Amino acid sequence: MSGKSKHADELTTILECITEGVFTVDNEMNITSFNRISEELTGIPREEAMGKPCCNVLHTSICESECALKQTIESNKPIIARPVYIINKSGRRVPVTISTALLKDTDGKIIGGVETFRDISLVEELRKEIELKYTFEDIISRSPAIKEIFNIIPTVAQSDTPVLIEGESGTGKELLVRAIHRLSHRNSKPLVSINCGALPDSLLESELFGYKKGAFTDAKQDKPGRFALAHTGTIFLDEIGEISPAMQVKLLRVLQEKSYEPLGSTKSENVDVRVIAATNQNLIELVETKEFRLDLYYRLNIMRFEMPPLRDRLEDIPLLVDHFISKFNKLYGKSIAIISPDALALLMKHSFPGNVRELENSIEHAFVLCTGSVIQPQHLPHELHKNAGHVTIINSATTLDEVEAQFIESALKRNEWNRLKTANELGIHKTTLFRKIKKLEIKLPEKDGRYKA
Amino acid sequence: MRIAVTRWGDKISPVFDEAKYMMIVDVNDDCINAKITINIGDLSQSDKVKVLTDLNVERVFCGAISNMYSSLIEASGIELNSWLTGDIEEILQTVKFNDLPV
Repeated sequence: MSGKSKHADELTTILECITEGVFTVDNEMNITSFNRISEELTGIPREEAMGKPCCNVLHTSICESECALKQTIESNKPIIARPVYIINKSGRRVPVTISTALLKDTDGKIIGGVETFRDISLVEELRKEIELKYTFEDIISRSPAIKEIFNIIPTVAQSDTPVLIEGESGTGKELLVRAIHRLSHRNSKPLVSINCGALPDSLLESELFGYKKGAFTDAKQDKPGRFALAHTGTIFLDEIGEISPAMQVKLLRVLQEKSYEPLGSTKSENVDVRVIAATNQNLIELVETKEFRLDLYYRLNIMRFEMPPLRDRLEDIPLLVDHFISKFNKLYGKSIAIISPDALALLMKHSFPGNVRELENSIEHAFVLCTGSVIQPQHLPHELHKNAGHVTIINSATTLDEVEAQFIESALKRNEWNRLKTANELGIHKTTLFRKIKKLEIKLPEKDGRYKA
Repeated sequence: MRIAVTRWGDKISPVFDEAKYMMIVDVNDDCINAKITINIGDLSQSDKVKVLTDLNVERVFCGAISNMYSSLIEASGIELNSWLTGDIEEILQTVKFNDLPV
């Protein structure tokens, strides 16, 4: 046996022993070798595969749009572990990762390419198990702060004490409310929500407490309020920090006496509800500035949860991305398998002022634009690219106040001194930003972003 | 008879699930009467199947197809000839001469 054929035999033996599918193609993309695992994964025997175009044998999700082997042969660059799926002979979608490289002869001339593919079904199953491990009701997280909340929720849910949830917009306060209600003994009764910040005082009062016929001009008949609708169940008062001092007094009375008077009624009505309130403001700061009553704060703040912003739990981003991919695949009937490492890196760099809701919207945006099976950076919203290169330069600051001042100033400059946009980017309320600007003595230009159309 | 063929250039698309275009062909009396190509790349799973039923397609010719899609198509009363490869014109010739692939 010649040295060359001995070497070829050895190579064939090696390819037959390894646990990955391996096949080679010539420059016309026709299969020239096909190992045992390739047969097993595709369900196609070697004799049938040999000499055929690889797309008619492998049937991957990217054959038509972005063939990895073709890309490698044309660009001279290998591809490593790209996640795709193949459809095997039984019609099952098998998730695999593929890697490609060039094949050259002894003169360095390109004679084709080699592709290896690995079944990652088990990895996918484990990934799903992990997601389950980090899921509590509808909340997904692996962050220690949220895990602590997961541990307390069942106990808190069993009691009837008021709950106060603090956290920026989009951190999942409503999910927490639903979890508490579902795990409580009131779960067969209604959960009634109201956004206190969305309604003016007069309307909020009639919404919360209802009214009697004739209470005002348009009150043609009795209308029950949200408290009445939530009787024996749970009422969720969102954006509680936005209500007026007058409404705060009325709410305090319900919490203290478990009764209220509908508009136009002289008779008190008793109510049995569990009150959960939420705010994206710092209530204790509002108490300090006399915008929120201390007694109401103490009534609500018996059990307090703080939902951390997404930028403080970056470890959750990959888990949440997986969750949203699976959610939108079902919703849009698509089969996006994964997000590319570059696109994930872009998400990890973003500050997410809109928190989990913004992340969800970003993935939904990508679903609209992505026609392949992998979300790429170009599918993500423009804002994410805009912030990708941004680095906040902190000059030689000595105190934390100086660091904070520089941080806020650079954010203001970035947003052309528009304070609302800056507050949104920093994930703080605009009044908090105003206070900080004043306290830290940040100088604002005479003409700023407020005048910009 | 109205047929649909998933199209990738001149060839049958290798994977129905990822096909971007579909050719709709009317074949009557061994003649191809009309041909149009529609873009199905951005359609959801259910919409892809809905297009077939809306257009009264009786038979689909395609390459590899996942069980999920084949069940949906067959449940809609459409006949399916899958795992085909090669030029679309060759397939159409077999249809014309009533020599349909099995």
